[in-house]
Amino acid sequence: MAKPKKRRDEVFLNIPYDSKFEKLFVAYIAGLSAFGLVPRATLEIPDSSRRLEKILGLARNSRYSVHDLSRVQLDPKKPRVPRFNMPFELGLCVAFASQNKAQKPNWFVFEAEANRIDKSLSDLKGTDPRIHGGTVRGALSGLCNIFRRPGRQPSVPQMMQIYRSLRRKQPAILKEAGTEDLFTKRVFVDICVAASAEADRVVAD
Amino acid sequence: MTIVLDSTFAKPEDVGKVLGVPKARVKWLKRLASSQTIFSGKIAEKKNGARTSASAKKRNHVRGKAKKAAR
Repeated sequence: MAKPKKRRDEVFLNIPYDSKFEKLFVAYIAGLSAFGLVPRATLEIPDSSRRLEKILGLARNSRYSVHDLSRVQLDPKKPRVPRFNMPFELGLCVAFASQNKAQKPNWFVFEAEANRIDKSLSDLKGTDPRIHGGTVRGALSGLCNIFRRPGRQPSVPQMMQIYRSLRRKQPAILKEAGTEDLFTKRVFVDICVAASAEADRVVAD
Repeated sequence: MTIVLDSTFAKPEDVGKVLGVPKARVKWLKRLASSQTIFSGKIAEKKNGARTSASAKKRNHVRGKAKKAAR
């Protein structure tokens, strides 16, 4: 009899790429890795390629998606515009999910402040976003409320342990990549692998 | 709503495969994740009592052996 194929779930991580978001960026990777999930992000897409097609591919191929809409402020630099990428990518994921009626909703929204999304994106009324309050613990706790893995369920302290370990190893990863920017493809994939190794050690069977 | 995951827990090798990370780098990242202390490699900067990874211990051991042989 043929051996059943192992399936790994990928999660499309739709988050802002700016220095103020570094902690939450690492926190989401730590949290998803603690559940044995594979984070995917648009950081993997090289600048030269047809970006939209690649984003569509990522959104379509990921089983779940996590969208952080906490950065709704205007850019302090001119031209002073808000970021539309994240709500746009959320819209794509919602559209893909609605095509597959048999599937349960697989997209999850995070926000820093309660009730703000009712104003910034009122189309989502009736969908409760996870409020993380801009904190690492808040984001990890939100992930804990979304996912459950029977037999290997991580706790928030375990996720915090993975997060702290990643932050300690961050300088070595950046040095190896020859950059100081966390939001590059090389650094993202390295952090994901390191997070998975740490999760495999911390979250026991 | 809570999602009950029925997939396999992704190991570092699986994550590396999906994200296109070479095997050698996956190995290095696994070693990095399991190491207790990150140090710059300059022994002079290492404080007394600081923990070093197994690989550093091995390197120092080999260095000591080489010195002994040279004497």
